[in-house]
Amino acid sequence: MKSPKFWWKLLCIPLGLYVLLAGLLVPLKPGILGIDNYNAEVGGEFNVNVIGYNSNYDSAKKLRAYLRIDSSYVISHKGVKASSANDLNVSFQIPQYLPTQDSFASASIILDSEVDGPSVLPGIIHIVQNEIDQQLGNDLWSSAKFTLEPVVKGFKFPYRNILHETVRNTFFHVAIWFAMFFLLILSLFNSIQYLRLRSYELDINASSYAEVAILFGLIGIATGSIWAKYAWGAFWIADVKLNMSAVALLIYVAYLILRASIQDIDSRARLSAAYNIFAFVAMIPLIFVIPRMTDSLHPGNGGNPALGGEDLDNRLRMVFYPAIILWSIIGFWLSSLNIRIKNIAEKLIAKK
Amino acid sequence: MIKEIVNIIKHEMLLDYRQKFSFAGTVLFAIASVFIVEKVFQEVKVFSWNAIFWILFVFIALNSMVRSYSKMTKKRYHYYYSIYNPTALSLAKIAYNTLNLFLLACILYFFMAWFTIDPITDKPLFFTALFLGSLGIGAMVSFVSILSTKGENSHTLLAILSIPLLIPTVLLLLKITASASGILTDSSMATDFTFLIAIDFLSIGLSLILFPSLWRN
Repeated sequence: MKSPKFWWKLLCIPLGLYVLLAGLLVPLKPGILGIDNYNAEVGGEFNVNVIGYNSNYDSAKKLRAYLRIDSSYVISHKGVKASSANDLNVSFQIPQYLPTQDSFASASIILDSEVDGPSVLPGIIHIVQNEIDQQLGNDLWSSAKFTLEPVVKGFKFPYRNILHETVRNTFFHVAIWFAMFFLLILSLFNSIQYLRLRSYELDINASSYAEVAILFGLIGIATGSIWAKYAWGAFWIADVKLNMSAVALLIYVAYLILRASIQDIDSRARLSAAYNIFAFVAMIPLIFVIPRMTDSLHPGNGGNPALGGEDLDNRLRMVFYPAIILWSIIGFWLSSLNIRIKNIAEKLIAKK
Repeated sequence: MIKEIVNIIKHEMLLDYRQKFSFAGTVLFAIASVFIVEKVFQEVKVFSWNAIFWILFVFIALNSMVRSYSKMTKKRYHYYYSIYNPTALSLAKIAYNTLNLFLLACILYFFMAWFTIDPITDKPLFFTALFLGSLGIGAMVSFVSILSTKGENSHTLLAILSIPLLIPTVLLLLKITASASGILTDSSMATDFTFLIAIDFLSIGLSLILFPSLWRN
């Protein structure tokens, strides 16, 4: 049996269902939402209530808590008491000296149980000391390696502080921008081919891809804005990556305006193809070079990691890569519909 | 090739000399804008001086560049097309527009310093940035002005097409001018200049590659 020509459209259905269902329904790993006490003093008992997220503190048998300074010095808990699945009371006996030359140190709180696996809230507890003795501090805070429970079984997304559930936006915001680049590259390719071959169909292709790419860019900005509201506190901030993305979109909107303002079909095709090439090349330093050189909150810039290292967990990847394919196919599909509409419109005009 | 470029530049100068009112009009536009700024702001702070300077410069550049291709009549277009090589013509246009813009920028600076304040402490740095900025803006706007003259309402179209393209250059220039006037210590000056020069070469290169295909009509 011959496979149908539109098999890639059918692929959208399972892929779309997978991305939507897995992307939105897979639970997050347990994590620490917050604590109620941030300041500790040396030599005293430090008592803190921990609020967990998706955690099972009351059903854990081997629940342990640690305070850690500089990723190597650790003290263990004095007592833990779970009052519910997400509420835990931990107490620590803070030693007389800290393993540092300064009068204070920031400690991370680490919880570990056989049910939930390890979870961390980094650098949140502020410990003050009056006398400084690093040697004694080093001895009092154990630097021995401590073993954590292996990560819990089951398909779960990583819990990231600050991001929480919004980590799922990776499958929409990031993947849609990837698809936008795919479409812009197709548009650029068609424009270059137009200048070489002067076939009117290539111009229709180039403009259709660019239009859908602009739509995806707007959706990308909208989803990014919602994400920014949650993670950074505002829908729009004066950040270099955001500004440059807005400028890049403006350049492409100018492309549409240029097309609309020229009546002659041949010169419209020629001029907009040239502007499209210019716009694409101008966009590369805007989005890929300048933001990397300056400070930015956005991942991938100013030294922040983006898609490498810890940020993109393997389980996120299992949905993220299909999401890129899904949005690219949908973009390609939308563009092909756009191309067909334009071709029909041309034929109707020619008939008249 | 070089002889050809020099010829075109001479030709352009002669034409501009014959139409003195056109250049003088742009200068008058600059002076009038500076005068309005002086009246509106009363006392201009260094930070706003930098911002106003570059905003005025962008609008003066657009005002002056719109003449670059639109003043070409159909006959002259055919004349150029028959005798000049498109690469030489576009290089000459860029060179002439750069000189033109640099001159306008110096005039603007002179009047800004005269009517308001002169915050620039590091003059060589400022004029280098001014020249590189004129080169980048000149190359981009002369490319875009070819596109815009073909459309309707070319003056608005030129602004719509070129302002987004000019934003990164203007932001870099703003940063360099801020450090030339001593309100900002720029630790990444070398990177900024590298970017500026890279953007200049990028726009010149693209204009050279794309101009021949736009030129044929």
